[in-house]
Amino acid sequence: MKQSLSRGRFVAGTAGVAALTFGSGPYVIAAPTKEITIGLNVPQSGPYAEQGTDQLRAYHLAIDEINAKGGIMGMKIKTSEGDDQTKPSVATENAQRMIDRDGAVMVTGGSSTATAVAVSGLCQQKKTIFMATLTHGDETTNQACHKHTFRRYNDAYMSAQSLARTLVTKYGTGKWFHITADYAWGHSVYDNITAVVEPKGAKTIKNVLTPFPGTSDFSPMLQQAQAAKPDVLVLTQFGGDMVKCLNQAASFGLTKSTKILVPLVDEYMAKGTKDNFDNVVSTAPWYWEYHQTKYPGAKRFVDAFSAKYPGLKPSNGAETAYADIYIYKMAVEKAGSIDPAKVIAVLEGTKFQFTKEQEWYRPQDHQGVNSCLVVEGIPESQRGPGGFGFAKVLEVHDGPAVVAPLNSLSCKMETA
Amino acid sequence: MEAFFQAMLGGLILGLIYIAIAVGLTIIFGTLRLVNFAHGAFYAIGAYIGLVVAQHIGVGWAFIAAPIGVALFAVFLDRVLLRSFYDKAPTAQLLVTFGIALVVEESLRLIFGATTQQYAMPDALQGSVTLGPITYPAYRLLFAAGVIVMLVLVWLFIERTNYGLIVRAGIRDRIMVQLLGGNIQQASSVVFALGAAIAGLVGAAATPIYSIDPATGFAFLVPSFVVVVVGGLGSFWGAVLGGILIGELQSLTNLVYAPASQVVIYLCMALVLLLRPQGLLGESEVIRQ
Amino acid sequence: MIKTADDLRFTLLCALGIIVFPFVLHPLGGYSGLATQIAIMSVASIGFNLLLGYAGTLSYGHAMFYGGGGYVAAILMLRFMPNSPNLWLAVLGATLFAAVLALLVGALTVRLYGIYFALLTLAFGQMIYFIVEQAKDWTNGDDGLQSVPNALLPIGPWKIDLTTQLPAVNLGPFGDLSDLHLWYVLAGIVLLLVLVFFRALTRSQFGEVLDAIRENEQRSTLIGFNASAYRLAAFTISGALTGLAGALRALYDGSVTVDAVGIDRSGSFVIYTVIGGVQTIFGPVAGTAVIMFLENVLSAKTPAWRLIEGLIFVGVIVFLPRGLSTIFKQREISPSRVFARSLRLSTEEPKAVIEPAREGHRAGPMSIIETFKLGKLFGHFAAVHDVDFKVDPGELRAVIGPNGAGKTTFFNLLSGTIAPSEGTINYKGRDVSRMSGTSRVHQGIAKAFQTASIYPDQTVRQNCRLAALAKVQGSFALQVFRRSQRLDDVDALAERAMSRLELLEVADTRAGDLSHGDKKRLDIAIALATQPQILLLDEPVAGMSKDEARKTEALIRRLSTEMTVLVIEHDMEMVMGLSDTITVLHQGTVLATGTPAEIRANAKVQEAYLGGHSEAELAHP
Repeated sequence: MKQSLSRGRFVAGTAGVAALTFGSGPYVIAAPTKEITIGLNVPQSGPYAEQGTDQLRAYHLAIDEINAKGGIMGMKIKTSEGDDQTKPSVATENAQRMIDRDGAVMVTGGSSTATAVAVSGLCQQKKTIFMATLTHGDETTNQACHKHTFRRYNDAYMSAQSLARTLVTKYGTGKWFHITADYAWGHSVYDNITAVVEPKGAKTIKNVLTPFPGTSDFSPMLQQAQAAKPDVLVLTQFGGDMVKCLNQAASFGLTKSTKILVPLVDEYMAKGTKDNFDNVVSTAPWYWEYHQTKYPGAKRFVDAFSAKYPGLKPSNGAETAYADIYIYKMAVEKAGSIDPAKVIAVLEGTKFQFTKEQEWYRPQDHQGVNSCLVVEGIPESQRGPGGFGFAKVLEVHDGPAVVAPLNSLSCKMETA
Repeated sequence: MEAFFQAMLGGLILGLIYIAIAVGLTIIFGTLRLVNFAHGAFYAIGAYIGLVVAQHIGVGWAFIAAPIGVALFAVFLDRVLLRSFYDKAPTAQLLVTFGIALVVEESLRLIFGATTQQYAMPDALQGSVTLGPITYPAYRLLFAAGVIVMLVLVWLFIERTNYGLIVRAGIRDRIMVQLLGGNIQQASSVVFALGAAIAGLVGAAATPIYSIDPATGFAFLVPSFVVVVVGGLGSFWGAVLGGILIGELQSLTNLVYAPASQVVIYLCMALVLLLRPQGLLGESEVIRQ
Repeated sequence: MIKTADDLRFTLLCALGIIVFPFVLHPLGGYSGLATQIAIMSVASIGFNLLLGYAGTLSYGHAMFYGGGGYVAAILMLRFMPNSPNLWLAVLGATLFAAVLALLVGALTVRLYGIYFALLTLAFGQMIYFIVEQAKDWTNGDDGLQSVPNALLPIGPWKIDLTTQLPAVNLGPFGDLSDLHLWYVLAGIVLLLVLVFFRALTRSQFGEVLDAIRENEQRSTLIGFNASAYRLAAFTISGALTGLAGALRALYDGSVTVDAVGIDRSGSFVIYTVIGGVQTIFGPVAGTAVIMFLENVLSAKTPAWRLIEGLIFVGVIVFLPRGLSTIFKQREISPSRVFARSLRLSTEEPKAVIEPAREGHRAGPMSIIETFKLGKLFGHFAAVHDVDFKVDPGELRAVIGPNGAGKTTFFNLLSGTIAPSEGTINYKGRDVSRMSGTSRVHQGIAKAFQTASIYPDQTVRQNCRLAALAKVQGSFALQVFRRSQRLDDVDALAERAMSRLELLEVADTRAGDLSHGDKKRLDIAIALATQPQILLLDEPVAGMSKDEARKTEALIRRLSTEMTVLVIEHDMEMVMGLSDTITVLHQGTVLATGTPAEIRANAKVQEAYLGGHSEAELAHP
């Protein structure tokens, strides 16, 4: 909540955005601009608050680093921040405020596919770049794709493809029971997983939907799972919901009797579920312990993060937040302008490397193409200081191998 | 069949949790005729006191500190603010307690942050218990047993003590009590503090299961109102019956047709208000203001 | 809606305010989108205030209309006109939907009051919320509907792009005219129209009756207003306005999610309206602006903004602004209830009828009102039972009896305030036992209460005009534009009633400031203004001074030459002097009926009275 509310907010960024939004001629930077505003729209309350808070740490790290080195093309980055409460309505209101009130030239954030899709629609309307971070549902770059939205994080399709390759050998087929968060992401994950494992012989016995956000008691669903005696229990829950759900599952004895699968995990979910996460298989786009040994960019990031936030390691959401700021910087500098059309053109056609292997966005749907890790939880006692070393990497799948084929997409990208 | 029994057990325990919150709400209404929208705030304060005490002193102490702390807060609230609203119209009470709930929720957000927090139950209670074909979390069973013990104590308080006399008389005929000149002021404070303390205790005890964030109090308040309305505003046994009814209804609907499991309890509430506004066990009284 | 210079002034003032508002907001840290949002939400708050401030009932489920309107608008745009979206149709459809929903929900809820009404609206609100959340095929569940087309507004052959900016004009510290888009112009025009409509409504006949019902529902019902119908109409209009706002907001945002139908949204209307001040036209607008300003501007400066909002809310309620006080007043428990309560203390078994009504009067063709075996049970206690009673047209009948004999209950049965448990009431040969009190007033049965039931905050003239209005326009009329001041026949009726009760001198006094005796006579005047054929007077002289009582007695005598008068009275001197016939009630049933002389001589009556409390009354005829 640091942004100032001075008159100045209409001077630079807004003038540009306004001119763009209402199409009154070609975009020109009116005067030498000293600052640009970026909107950081992440949950600081609600079930995904820990993920949102960690992304915010990474944003600040990246922005501080960039500002210390003179900013983006000489423009210092200012932030406009909002707690989206993991609710689409609040997320859109925040983004509206960031763009209208503070003149944000780019909005970034996510943590829920529902909020990401909502903000994406608004940013398209307002012709403002949206760098979606922690959104995993396919929709963001598929059914609800937009010209101004870019998502680097793995999507559910990629996770399911990756899991499938590792899973069937590990879990076999048998009876599968799903407890799924009832919103875009949950549906997307469920569709992808069943599409992958059913042809191999897995039998889906039931999918119970849980209201999102706002489910605090998973016992009715867990009891149904208990009664059904499945071989595999898929908990498609994320953040604090996954913590509650897995812990409650453990108290019903399900972690002992059933193999548990969580489609997507991060450091904080593993910490919250402690030993209940032992042996649980999941996916992650990035894992500090793995990547820091392979890529110098990742190592620099992890070290800087731990230096700025002693005792903490970056989660995979933080990594994507950090990278997104640098990717935007790279694109603006290459375009030589903050004109969204030019920035989009760069993002659609450039390969880059920061904290992972070399990667890119597909111009057809703006999905980031990069690798996906399949991980398995280890006991709390083996996780090291702070409990951040939560898993072992079972397998790494290359982005191009697991990303959804272009001909399967229903994305209809706008021309501008 | 096993699923059915599990759902029944789940519904019973859910019902007991609802009853635990609703019983304070109903005795406060019965005695003070106060419609307390701030009751959820008592739950939340209890949960946060429990959280702090459990993290710094010990889980056992949390269950003692939470009800005492909340009772003190309730007495304070009663003295400085609510007392002047006792004889105002219900709408006024509803608004002022709604305002208090807002202030408490936001204060908690400022003090403890907006994230969801939880404290671990003692290791001994983390496991599950197997009863015939059913496996159930040990802590939930203990929680349910605790609620039953608490209900018995509250019942004894109402039936066997002088304050309880005023509670009973108050439920039946407030005017009579006033005519008889019972020390209603003092009794009101005691009952208000007791109702609040119960909510605080339940907040502390339920947090290992549900975890807590500043908005949880209000989230629990709404179904408690359903329970109290269905059972009968002001009726002890009404809250008990209403709680079990709503808990089972929700649990069984979840089994049969899950998407309706929330709608059905509000439908139930609406039907009761339309057909028997005093509730299933409530005494017929002035429904009009 | 705009008829007088005053109306025009108001309209221009509002228009000016709406034009200036965004530029006042600008130096405070506001921005263009915020002004548009405030304008739209103000419409919802104004609608909510009609219910809270004017109808006096607190709804805790208004988000169902707001969100309902939003969803219908979005669905119409996305599903039904994907190729040629028409903003007008979406808004119209949504408003209509909200009105119908409000009519249906209102029909079920307006019977309840206070907390029960609030809880029932809450229950319906929650039901709608979960239905919206689960009806995923239409609403997209928890994700909500996105990318609703919202740019083009068709006007005639043109399509106006609402995202167009106004021309650039630098206004110095107040920003620039081009900060605004046409969306604000649209929202501002809607707000202006709603303000003008709302002002007309509150000053109309409809608004006047709504005020009366809020102030004294019991009286309003018994001068012939159908209170439920009025409240239902208010609920429907309120819901429609809230739905209109919901539709505009969904279209402006280009999205709508389940939060729009959620309980927090319902609560926000309560907050906006209470903070701004109810029963005022601008209060809700001010409250909406203040809170939304806090939310959008202060939120950037301090995380405590919501706490500040809560403290303001509690502060407003505790340090009661005048607007809230009429809602907060504890309403009187209706007399019949108090009576029932006092009866419950008596445990004596009711006795059988000692003497039936005079032979030969039964079922006479001449009678104006007649009861057969009339009875009323309160729980297990028969307050009135087996009453056979018959009054000839033009008669002046006194009903007497010891305290607790059932006299007031009997009158309540005749006036229709309570329904009989058994037996029938025939009025002019027609069974009216199941007819509501309101309808009976229109049939010619009017009542003055034991404790004067008047509108204390209005003048004596207005009190009488209300009754006359009910007579002239019937039990319900949706006159939201016409002002009753323009009705000559109403004035004439009121004038006559006041003159008959000798109240002309105090015609412009506030009724609450009258002396006790004048209040009681005003109550009779109100009853008289409904032009009754039977006038029921419950202890008309109780508590009056000797002089006042004698004056009132003379008035009653004069009235009785024009209509049938039934009077309950304890003053035996008056009863014996005044009445043609006397009916004695004892323990809920008729003990005797006869001329004053017959009654005075009746041994059973003497016994009943000697055994009762009123020995002295009978001893001094």
